[in-house]
Amino acid sequence: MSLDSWFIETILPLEGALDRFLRRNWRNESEVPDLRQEVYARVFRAAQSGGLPEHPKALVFTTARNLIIDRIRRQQVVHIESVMDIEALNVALDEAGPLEQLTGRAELRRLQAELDRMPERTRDVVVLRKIHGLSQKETAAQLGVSEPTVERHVAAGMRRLADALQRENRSGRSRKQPDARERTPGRGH
Amino acid sequence: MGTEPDMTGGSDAERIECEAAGWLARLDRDGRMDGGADLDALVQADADFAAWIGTSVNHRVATLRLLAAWQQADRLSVLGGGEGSLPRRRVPRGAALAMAAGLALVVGLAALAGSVAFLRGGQAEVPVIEARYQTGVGLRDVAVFADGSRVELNTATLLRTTSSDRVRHVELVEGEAYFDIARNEALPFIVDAGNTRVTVLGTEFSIHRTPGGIELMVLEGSVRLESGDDEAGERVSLVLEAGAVARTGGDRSVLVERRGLDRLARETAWREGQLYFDETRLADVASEFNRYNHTRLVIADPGLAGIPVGGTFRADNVEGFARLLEEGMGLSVERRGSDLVISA
Repeated sequence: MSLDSWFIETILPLEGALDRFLRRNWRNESEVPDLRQEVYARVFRAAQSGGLPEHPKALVFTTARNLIIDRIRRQQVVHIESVMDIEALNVALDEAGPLEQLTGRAELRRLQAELDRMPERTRDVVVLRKIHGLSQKETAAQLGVSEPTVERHVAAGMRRLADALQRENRSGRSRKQPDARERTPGRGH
Repeated sequence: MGTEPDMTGGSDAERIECEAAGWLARLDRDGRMDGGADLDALVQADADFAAWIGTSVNHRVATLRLLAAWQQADRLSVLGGGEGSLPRRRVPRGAALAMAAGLALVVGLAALAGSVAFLRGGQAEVPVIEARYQTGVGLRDVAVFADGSRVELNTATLLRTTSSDRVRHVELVEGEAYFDIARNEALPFIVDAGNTRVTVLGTEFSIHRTPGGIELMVLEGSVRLESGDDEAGERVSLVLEAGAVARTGGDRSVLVERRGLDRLARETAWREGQLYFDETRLADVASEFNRYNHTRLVIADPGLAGIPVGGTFRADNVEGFARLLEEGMGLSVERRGSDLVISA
């Protein structure tokens, strides 16, 4: 298994839980995407040099915790709350909950819902490109817009879809996700 | 890189993500993202992109995240949603577009009506829907066709689907899948796996790609199996009924065995995340567990390979199985890295 696919299959599904952890433990929410990307980069580098970790989830949260501690230490003024936060970080590891991996169906629902929320032009581009399988060029012709415009909306669309895949996790912290490997028993027959 | 319609803030991560999205959108424009290309393939396709990716691991992880999401969005094409099979929506006119429009409606997006309308009135004819499904080790997934046909993917499986009002086709590239196909006398459902083709009108069966061939189990109805090299005149064709198991291999032969439906149902227990063994050699049990887990069972002592094992186990509970060998059978199990090494 390549590092890339390991990262996609094992690390990315933790994003909802990771974001929650970061938001709980970092005062400035707008910096969460920054922290998240840094956690990903550190985890990736660790796997690159040391091999795939046995406990990827523990690695992700330990890395997040260490990153937050690094950042707090680098701050010019250390707030008393920050110090308390560091204590709290040890507990937070257990709180992260079971590995949440979306089923194909849950992912599909999120993608659909995100399509609904997209600006009209972005949505049209994603629909033609992904549902109808048109190329960017054909999409441009179909919508009567320029190809660079389509390219821009593809870029915007994929960013929104990437965020959307984790969004439900962000709000519903208390909701227990069923183990993705267990599907509902009744197969419609 | 391009102006983003919804760009906000200016953090480093944000900037990198914008750049990553810009690169991927450009590669998508050039048709490089079709067929589920992985990052390595994209890097090889574009030297400038390769240089950018090589600059920093942050670039790589941001790109992987977007790439994964964009490829996940391929699911939007062949749609499931809701529980069980999907009702087929009727579309009043435009037969060639009925499939595409039907799918779009199934998405359940009021907002899509606009797109569908202009497709119907416009010049584009896009009747064929293609999608790619892939599962990682230990995971499962379901692909649902507009007619309600379901394909369940087992661990580490890759398949491609093509559907329209004239074709129902799956290519099983690797792994294992269970097919529950809605009956349609007029439109055969075709599965290709290597040089073997399975054709059905409506039935249930499973196919596992083995080294050099396939194992096919028929659980309901009948299927037609064709296997071998057509040009060499070595193509075999036969019809198999429920209860049959057929194995094709490198030696051009097709081995057919009758096992009974009860046993076949147990042998497809992976659909519920279970593995079933009946007097199965420990070596085979180990390789079966290894299909589902990153932790690998390794039999260090060749004398143990033939020990018969029976029972039903959770596919992801390799640790539990190892404990059973240790405590129940007195074998020694030692962890080395991601391996569980079994010896006497």
